[in-house]
Amino acid sequence: MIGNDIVDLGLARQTTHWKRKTYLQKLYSPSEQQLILESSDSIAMLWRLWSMKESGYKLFLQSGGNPFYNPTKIECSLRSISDGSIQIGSFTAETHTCEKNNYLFSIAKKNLQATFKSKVFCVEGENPSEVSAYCHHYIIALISREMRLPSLLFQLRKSKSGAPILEYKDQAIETPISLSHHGLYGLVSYAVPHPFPGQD
Amino acid sequence: MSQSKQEKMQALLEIMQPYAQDPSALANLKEETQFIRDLKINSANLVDIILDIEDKFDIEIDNDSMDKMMNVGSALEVIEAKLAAK
Repeated sequence: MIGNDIVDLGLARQTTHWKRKTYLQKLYSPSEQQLILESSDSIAMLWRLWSMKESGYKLFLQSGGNPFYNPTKIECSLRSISDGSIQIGSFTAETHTCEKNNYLFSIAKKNLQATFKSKVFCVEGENPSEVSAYCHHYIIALISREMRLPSLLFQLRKSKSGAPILEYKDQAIETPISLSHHGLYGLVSYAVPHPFPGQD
Repeated sequence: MSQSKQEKMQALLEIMQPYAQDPSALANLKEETQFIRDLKINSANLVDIILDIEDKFDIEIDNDSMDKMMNVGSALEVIEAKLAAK
C-alpha cells in the first residue's frame, strides 16, 4: 500500500489564508504550529505537514480505517526535513517528502524498506472530470509502456474508499498505487508487480 | 424542510461556491451531498469553508464537531446545534 499527496506551491501561496483566526488550530497540533511559525517559509512548511497528513490518511483509509475530518488527529513527526512519520491513534506510517521550486509531495508507506516509483506530471483539462480523465490516461500510458503491454487492456477505477485500482483485462492487479493532483501538477506513486498476472 | 433550514442551506451554498469544483453538484445540493466526493472540494479547502461558516453564523466549531461535517446535512446539524447553544 502507498498513499501520496502533491501540492502546487504556486496555487497554495495564492489560496492559503493561514493567518485567519483559528486556521492553524483547526489543522495542526501545537508542536506542528510551532514548526510552521518558526519556519522561514511558513506556507511551504504548512503544506509539507499537510501533504504528510494527507498521504498518511490515504494509507489509513486503504488499511480499512473509517473516514474522518479532523486533521489534528493525524500527528506528524519529522526526523529530518524530508523524512518523518504520521500517527492516527494506533495507526502509524512512514513518510518521505520531496520539495521543488513549484511543488512538493509526500508519500506514505507502512514499510520503510518498500520501494515505489513516483512520477510528477503536468495535468491538462478545463474541469475536474477532464483533469481526472487526463490523470487516468497518463498513468495507464506510463505503466503500460513500462510493462510493454497494450494500454487499451488497462483500466483504472476507484475502490469504495476512493483508492485507485489498476485493472488488466478486467481483473484487478494487486499493486500498490496512489494518485493525487493539485493545481498544475499530478502525481502517481506505484510499484510494478512481478511476476505480472497474464503477462506472457 | 423548515424555512430557516432552507435559509441556512442557501447560506452554505454561497459559502461553498468559490471552492466547489463541480458546479452541477452544487446546483443539485442535497443534505446527502458530500463535500469532497460530490462537490470535489479540495480537502485542504474544507477548513476555509469551516472558517467561513463560523464567520457567517457567528459560531465556533470545535475540532470534534468539524469531524462530523462530512456532508451538507451533518454540517447543517452542527450549525443548528451551535446556534441553539448560544
